[in-house]
Amino acid sequence: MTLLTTPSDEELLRLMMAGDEAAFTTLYRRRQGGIYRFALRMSGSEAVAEDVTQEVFMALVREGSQFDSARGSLVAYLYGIARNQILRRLERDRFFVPINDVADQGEVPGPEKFVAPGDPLGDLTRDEMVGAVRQAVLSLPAHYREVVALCDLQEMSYVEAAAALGCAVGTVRSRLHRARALLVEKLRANGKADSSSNQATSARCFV
Amino acid sequence: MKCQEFETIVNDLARDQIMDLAVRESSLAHARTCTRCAARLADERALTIGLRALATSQETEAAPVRVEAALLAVFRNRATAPVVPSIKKAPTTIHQSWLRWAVAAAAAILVLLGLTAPRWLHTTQPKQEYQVRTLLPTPTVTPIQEFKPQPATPPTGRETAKVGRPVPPRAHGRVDYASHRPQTGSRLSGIAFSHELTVNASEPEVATDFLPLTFGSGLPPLESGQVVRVKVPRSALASFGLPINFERANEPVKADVLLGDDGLMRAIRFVR
Repeated sequence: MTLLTTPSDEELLRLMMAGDEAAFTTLYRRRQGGIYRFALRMSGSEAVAEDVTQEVFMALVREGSQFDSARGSLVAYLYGIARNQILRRLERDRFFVPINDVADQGEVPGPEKFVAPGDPLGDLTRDEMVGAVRQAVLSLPAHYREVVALCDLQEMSYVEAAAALGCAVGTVRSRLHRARALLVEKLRANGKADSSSNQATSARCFV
Repeated sequence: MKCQEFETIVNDLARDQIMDLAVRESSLAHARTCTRCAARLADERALTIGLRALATSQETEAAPVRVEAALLAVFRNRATAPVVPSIKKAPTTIHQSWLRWAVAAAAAILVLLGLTAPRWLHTTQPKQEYQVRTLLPTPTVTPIQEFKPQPATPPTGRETAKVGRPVPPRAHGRVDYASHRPQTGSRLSGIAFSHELTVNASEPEVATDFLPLTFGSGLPPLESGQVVRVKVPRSALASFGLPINFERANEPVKADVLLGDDGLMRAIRFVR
């Protein structure tokens, strides 16, 4: 009887550094999604997320030997590289105003967008809610956004998030607490603004 | 349970994190009795639902295939070069960090030495009498024409070339004033000054010789100093008995000030 075991990230890295392409591919496919989504949630840009993902694994190919297993897991190492890349980009791009090409120039919808789903009103409400939450998360300061992205959206534990961010678990907890309070405030303010605009529209209709 | 304690665990409660059953029950019981904490818990739960919906909407997001292709190309190129497949252990990292600190400390010491060494050398260097550090060409009298007619021999081209030959530029730095000390003129702290015009043929500047500043007469003898180029009001020329063009009275005039090592002005010369 053969016991099939999944190789750990560290084992894959060791094989990868020895020139094993399959190990690299396995490691990449295992971890790229999380890294990409983390970058996407931090930046709000698919282009940035793509670049960051590529940079993270390029760094792993070039400097994988720098990884020290005594200091944390490979996942935390990868997220740490991603975080540094994202923060650098955010710092660099803070003077630029992004052009929201999806919203302003019109996204070319796929065929599925023309098919009426089962519950259009429910989907619309959910999409609005998701959009509002996404905007609220993106409007958080970076050090709050990253804990929300890791703990709430990536469902990492406090310990894993602390390892990825290179800070104490208590720091992660307190930042998450503050970040969620800010999110509640922002979403509540959004809701009030929406309801007031609806009231104004109704008033115009009645007059 | 009090509201303050409830606030510390409301996040974990709303996010369904693993917690002690008794704490969970008591916090839920508190929320049933406290309307403010109940509202707080409701907000947090609504936020959790929103964040999970956002996470679900993005869970299929992934990097495009082209990224993997590009990375594989890089990996293959990299694989052609031998790579040491060693993952560094903790002691190595500690050694590296010590090495990094040692290099940083050495660099800091070198910078400090670089900053302090010139001053130390300056103070320990034996002082020479009548030497002045100058940033400018020496204020010696340089005759433009040295040609003296010699009727016995017809003039040749080489000799004619000496006429008006510019004096080669003098090197900046320490200049021995003792050999150029004029025989006439007033003296200030061992350096002689005259009112003769100084002509520097290598530069189109005409300067007076250094004029002593009378208020410095009680100062100790000048052993070395520094010449600094400044601009002064044209009226300063009158203070030294020099003629002034009143049409240009508002324009400043260039001057070289001789400063002693103590920072006090000893003499001045005007430059045109």
